[in-house]
Amino acid sequence: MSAAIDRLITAKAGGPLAPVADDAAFLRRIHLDLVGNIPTSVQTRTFLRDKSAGKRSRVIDQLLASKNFAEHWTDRLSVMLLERQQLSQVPDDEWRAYLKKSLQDQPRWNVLIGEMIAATGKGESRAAMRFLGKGNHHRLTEDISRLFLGRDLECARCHDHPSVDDWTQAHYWGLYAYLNQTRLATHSGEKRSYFVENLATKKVEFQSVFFDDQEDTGPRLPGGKEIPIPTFDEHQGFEKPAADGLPAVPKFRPRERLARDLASGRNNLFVRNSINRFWKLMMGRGFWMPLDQAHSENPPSHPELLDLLERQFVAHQFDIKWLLRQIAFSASYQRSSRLPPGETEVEPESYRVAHLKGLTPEQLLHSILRATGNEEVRAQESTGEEKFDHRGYFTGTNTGLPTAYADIRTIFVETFGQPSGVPEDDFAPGLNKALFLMNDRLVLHWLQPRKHNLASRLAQMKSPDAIAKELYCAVLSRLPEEDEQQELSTYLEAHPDRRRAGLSDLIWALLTSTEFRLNH
Amino acid sequence: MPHPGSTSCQSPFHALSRRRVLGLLGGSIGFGSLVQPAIAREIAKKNKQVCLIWLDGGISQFESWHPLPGSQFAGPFRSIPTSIPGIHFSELLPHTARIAHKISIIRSMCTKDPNHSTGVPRIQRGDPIDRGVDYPYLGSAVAKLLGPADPELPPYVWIKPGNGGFIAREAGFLGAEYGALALGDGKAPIHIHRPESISAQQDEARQILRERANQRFKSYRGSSEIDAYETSYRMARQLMARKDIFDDTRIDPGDRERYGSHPLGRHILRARHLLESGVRFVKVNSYHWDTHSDNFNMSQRLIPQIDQPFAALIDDLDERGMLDDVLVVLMSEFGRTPIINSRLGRDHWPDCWSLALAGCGIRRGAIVGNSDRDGVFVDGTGYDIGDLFHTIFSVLGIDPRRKKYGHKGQKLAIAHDECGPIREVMT
Amino acid sequence: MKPPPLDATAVWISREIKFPRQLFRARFSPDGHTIAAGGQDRLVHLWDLRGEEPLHRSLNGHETWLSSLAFHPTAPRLFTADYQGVIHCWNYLDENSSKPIWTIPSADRDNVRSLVVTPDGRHLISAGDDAIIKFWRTDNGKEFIRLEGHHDCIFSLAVSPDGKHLVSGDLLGTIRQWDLADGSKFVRVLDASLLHTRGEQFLADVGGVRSLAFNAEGTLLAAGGMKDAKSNAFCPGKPTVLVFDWLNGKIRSELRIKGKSDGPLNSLCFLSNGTLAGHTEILHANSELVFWKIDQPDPLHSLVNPSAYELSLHPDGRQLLAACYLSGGSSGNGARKRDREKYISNGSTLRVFSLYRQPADT
Repeated sequence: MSAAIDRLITAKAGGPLAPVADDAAFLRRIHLDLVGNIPTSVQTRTFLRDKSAGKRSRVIDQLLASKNFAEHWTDRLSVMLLERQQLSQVPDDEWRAYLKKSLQDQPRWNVLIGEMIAATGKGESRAAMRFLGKGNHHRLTEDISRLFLGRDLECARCHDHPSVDDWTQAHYWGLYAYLNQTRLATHSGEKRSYFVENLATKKVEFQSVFFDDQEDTGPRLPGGKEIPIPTFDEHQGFEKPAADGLPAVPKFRPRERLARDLASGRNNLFVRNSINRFWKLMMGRGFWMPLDQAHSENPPSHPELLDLLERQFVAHQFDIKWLLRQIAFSASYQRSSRLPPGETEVEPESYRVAHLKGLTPEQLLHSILRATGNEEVRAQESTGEEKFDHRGYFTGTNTGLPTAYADIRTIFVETFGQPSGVPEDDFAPGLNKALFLMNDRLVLHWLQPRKHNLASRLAQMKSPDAIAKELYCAVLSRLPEEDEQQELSTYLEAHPDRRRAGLSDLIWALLTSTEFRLNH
Repeated sequence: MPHPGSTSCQSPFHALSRRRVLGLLGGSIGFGSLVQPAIAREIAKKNKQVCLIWLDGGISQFESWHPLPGSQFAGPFRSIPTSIPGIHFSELLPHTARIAHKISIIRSMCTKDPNHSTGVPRIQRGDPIDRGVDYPYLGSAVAKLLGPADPELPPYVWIKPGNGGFIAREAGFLGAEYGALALGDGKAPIHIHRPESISAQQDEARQILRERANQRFKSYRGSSEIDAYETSYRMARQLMARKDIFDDTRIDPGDRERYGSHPLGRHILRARHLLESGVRFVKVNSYHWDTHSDNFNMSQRLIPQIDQPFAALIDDLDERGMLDDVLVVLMSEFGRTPIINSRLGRDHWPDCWSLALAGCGIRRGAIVGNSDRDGVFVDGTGYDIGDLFHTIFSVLGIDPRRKKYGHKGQKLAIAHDECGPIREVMT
Repeated sequence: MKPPPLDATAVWISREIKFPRQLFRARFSPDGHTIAAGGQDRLVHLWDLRGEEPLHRSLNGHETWLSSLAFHPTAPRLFTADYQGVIHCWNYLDENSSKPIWTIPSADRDNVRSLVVTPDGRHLISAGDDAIIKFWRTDNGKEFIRLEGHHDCIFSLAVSPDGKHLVSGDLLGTIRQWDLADGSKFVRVLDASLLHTRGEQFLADVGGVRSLAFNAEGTLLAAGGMKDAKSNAFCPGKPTVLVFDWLNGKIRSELRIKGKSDGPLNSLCFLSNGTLAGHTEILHANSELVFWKIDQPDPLHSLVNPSAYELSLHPDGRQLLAACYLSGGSSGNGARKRDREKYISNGSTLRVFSLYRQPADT
């Protein structure tokens, strides 16, 4: 499959391709993509020393099998699916534990999404109900369409889409009809909420704001057949009677049908959208962009490759790791982000050069902690006393330093992430982000020598060459070039009276460099 | 910092071109891509600034600009004469009535959206023809179209109650760099202050190291992401160097008194300081104007809170000779219903409402448009928000018929294609 | 035949007068033969109830909305006040007179929110936006005394049944007691600050002591309004009554409602059997007329009814009058159809509620 990827990318390249990235760049990239963190200084040095064949493949497989894979992809999928909304039905740690468990071994994307759409809150996968949030039918219709079918149907609620002919109002309401019976109900004994479905008795009616004709539809996927709403004799429509404050369970449960029919190999909108999203996460750009504009006037850049991936992903039972592995093994993925000689600009859809990807807030935090040798922060738990005032941290009324990892993570997400309910964006530098990395007390605190952190390790080294090697391996995951070594020793010589501060400056400069801030 | 509109040795030309050259020497791409050949018209445009005062939720036109005394749906307040003969405002606007001859009122706004959630973005984006993209809000649009008035300052500053930070979402398809620097309760974000542990020299030294590292990384790539990243640091450093413009201790107690101690008073005074310092576009946001209930008790208490500082701002800009270059817009996403509901409130009314404009090519003392007898619908043709955007762009020296945004290879109109400027309100 | 006993739980609507404009105030005259009402259309409306059909006429004198009404206890005098500080005195029984007997052009800086007449009929007391209570001679409208002490606008006034005490309630939830016998001296403050809310992001104070009522014995004072307001825009809160023990000034009970309402209790009335009546308001829906036994927080009974702004007890003690909201059909956000003719004002319905079992033959 990887060879097929390369063949089909190369066939449409339309110009010279960048060479394969060097070992250091590859190692950093694959670590960030698969486990969400830069490699350690030791890992980098070991990998660079390793001269054996197949070392890249071995790293890919090791990372895919590691615990950190599930941890990192829990972040990525959680952000993709919930878009940083605080949905309170299910506590955060239960939701993460659920995703993490699903991501171990052989994670199957259709099963995971099916569970989330069908979620009732019962049984082992109760946490899956978090995706449905409060069960607002319009919000769900729009999110499911956008996230799983690649169609931003919001406009189609009131009329056929104004600029996309493929998207009709009937598509919107067909999806809506799967969901409009769903609501939350509270179990009287357990005092817990469950998603239940009312008995559907009629189609959903809708009317364009432009025309007077009344239309109706039963549950229907775009391009699929409408599901007839069964009729029952009185009281015959239920499988189980009402109990404990929960209503009777109807025999016809359209949301359950949606889970089955949508997250299915027979639904090519779902399969192609899924591939496009994973491809984008790895390659930095989807076959079509924006991700939620899948329609005939915005065709994929590599239709044949997409078709092939579609067939193979289904054949491999939506195995996420399989898909990521095929991409990671390809030369297209492993290409350098440096321009081919003589080129100044390449078309982004050609994949001739590796795309630069911004680090997510989580990747950035974890990488800063690893680079500066402060990884123990990740184990720090909340003391459970007073809640840390994040707002006050930004406005200056809270002059304390957060210690709990969860609070630190929140500060990074607030600074570097998108607001709640907005999809993850591409790399977006900003004034506030620059100000944060320049002046944040916590970040500067991590650059002070403490225990065995980087600043402390560097302070104990005598030779500028050794310092340069350790600094560059730890922060930028590569060995320094000669001019970089030279710059470092000049800098240290120029500031003999403040050697420790000078070392902090050097770490800071690399941490805030574009090279660190990007997955390149 | 002298205002670009002031005269003498610190003339706008001086200040502007000097800063500009500094920016160029630094290889600046500034805030957005601003560096174009400096021709006279361009320079003139550089002086234009905007203050948008946004009363979120909808101020009642009956209790402010269009009281319609004696009519069926008029509220209980008195109408008072203004400095424009024959024109009355509500008694809740005594200060503004005094300076009415310096401003213009449009009483025939007729827009399309009666909901906040859609109406606020729709109005602040100018409700252009839907082209499947997220249009920028006015502040981001002006930041893009005119760039910063002072290259050292962010072009778009948003003063709002609650939290601040850098808010990108208003930039729409223009991208995050055209977002707003938001001052929560008028205060600069804490990260604008360099911790004491870093000296100015140390900061300079570490920044040089960072810039060199970026140059090395860029040398093989030439990517716009890298430039944008470098720009964000330059913006950050420039802003830090000018952080005195956010300093509360520099505010004159007399001014504080004249503008009022309520949030709008403090925030509009802050806006004046920022305009004087050379910020291109300042938005001042006030929330909780959505008086579905108790409209009359609330209007009685809320409207004086905009009256006092709005009139003070117009007076001050006028006195400083800035009013010819600073456009002031005071508006909401719609007006309020003529009909009074069961809780003595007024609901949302986009069908006929009023707003105030002043300065920068806006006529002084013009009252434009009218409603029918009872203030229900516009008498004649109303103005849509697209017309207002055409007007705003026109007085800022941007031709909305010719100027386009470039986005993914498309040319996109900056304002609704089928609207046009409101000539009656323009000089 | 003996009339059926007073029973609030048997309440029924015995009379209804619809009016095309919004009326915010309505009162029975002391003999119960006349209803006076006023509101948005600036007129003072009178309905003579003695005939089969109520006979309507109106008095023109105010230039803005009416804000308050009070009848003289014995003389044929009606006092009406408006949002711009004007008070008129009318001979409401003289059908040939359409002019006020006297007028106070500026009884308040702005809105005169409350009027009461002392039981002896000698003084009219007004209060409102300027936070100053003013006494006027009922015979000539001359100012007699003024009481200062409130720090924000006064919404409500009440005189104790024995005529010895005046209470005044303001926006900030302060109730002040004044001794009418002894030079109208300030006596004490009763704390109703629960009825006032100023949230962190509010631009204005919300709530206030919107209504005050003494029971017949003068042993209890009820203060109505709402608590826990959530914003200064929709101003939603929980309708609440605080019942004070008059002797010690302490809150004896806090009453709430069960039905739908998001606004304050603008009016309260004690019935002769000690039952308290109040009316609530709500946005775009039906609210309710509520009855409490004052030691039970939950209502004894309630009747679904449109929002209403004032309750007035008939002199027979067995009927309540309310000025209620009546939708004109065009309420809500934006114009449904841009048809000028169809954009109709909301109106009112004056409802008389009888507080006894409805006779079978009606």
